Amino acid sequence: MFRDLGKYNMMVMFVTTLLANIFVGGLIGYYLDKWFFKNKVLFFIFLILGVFSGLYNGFKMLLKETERYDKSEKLNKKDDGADPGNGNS
Amino acid sequence: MKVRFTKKEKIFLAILLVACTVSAFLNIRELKKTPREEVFGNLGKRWVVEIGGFRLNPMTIFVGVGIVALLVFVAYKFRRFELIPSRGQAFLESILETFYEIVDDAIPDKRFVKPTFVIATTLFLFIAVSNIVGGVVPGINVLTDENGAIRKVQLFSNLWPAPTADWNTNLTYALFVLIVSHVFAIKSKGFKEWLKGWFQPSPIMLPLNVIGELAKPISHSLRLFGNIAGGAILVYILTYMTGYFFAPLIFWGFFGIFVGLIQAFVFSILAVAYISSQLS
Repeated sequence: MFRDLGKYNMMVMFVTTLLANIFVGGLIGYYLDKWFFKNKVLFFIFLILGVFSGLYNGFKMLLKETERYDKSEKLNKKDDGADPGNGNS
Repeated sequence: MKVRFTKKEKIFLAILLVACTVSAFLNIRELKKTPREEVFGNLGKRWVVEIGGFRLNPMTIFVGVGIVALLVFVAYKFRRFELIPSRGQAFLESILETFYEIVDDAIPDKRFVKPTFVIATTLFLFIAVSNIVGGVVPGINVLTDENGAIRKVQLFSNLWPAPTADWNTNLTYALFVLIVSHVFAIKSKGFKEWLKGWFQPSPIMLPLNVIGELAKPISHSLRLFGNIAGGAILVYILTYMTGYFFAPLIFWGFFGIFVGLIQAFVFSILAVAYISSQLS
């Protein structure tokens, strides 16, 4: 059950990272635009940058998590293989 | 799995059950005629005090200080670790040991294992106690009008207002973790290496890295805030809709203990992950 919870948490983390990046990008763009040009171009550019940054950081985090996940799974298998006497733990 | 309680725990649970039921009966006369009026009348209104241009939330400060005092008291009580641990000491030791193992695995630079461990466990203990207090224990409910002035103070009609259900608390901790992670990174790798880290893997990625770093505290704090504040609102609505009787006990237990502890754990694990990602 807790393993499934970890998967669920990974997805929630990805989504929150994505949304937070878009939000921050939009915020920076909005204020830069307000102070410099006032034609919404910077806002648009930074919003797009936020989307890309969200995807980049989100996938980076997902890859790291899956790597860790695989490592722990391998360790579990090794542990199971080491003591076949009580391998149903 | 069969759950077994000792006699003490049974008595404690019975007292909690009786207290909740009695407070439920006492609060029946406070109910409004229509549930709509009750539920949407007070939702999202907080007691706000303005001092010198700053808008303060006194309940967050009071409850936060109370939790800190409680934790300091517990720390004082267990200041001398015995060789043969008592039950409370064993419980605390198991929590601290789990955290130490996680931090020791995650942090590559061994000089920063201890400070990170201290930060992570402090955050976990504060947030866990705050979530449980705000999720299980009936406490003070302050009713306010639109401008944030007090209209009425009720005892035991709702849960304690958790400090973590206020975004200011969570954002403070998340920003603190962000600053600490960068300070550790500068100390560990040196200023030049740290500056180079912003241009990885190529200089074009600088804006993406800046936005990603700034977004970390936002997502870090909003996750905790959303879970706890959303749970509090859900419990608030459900308690009034069910006439404050049976369902609240179950929901209080669920949101208070289960979600609260998991979110506290996730918050401190993420703090460790952010610090370790800066150090590696």
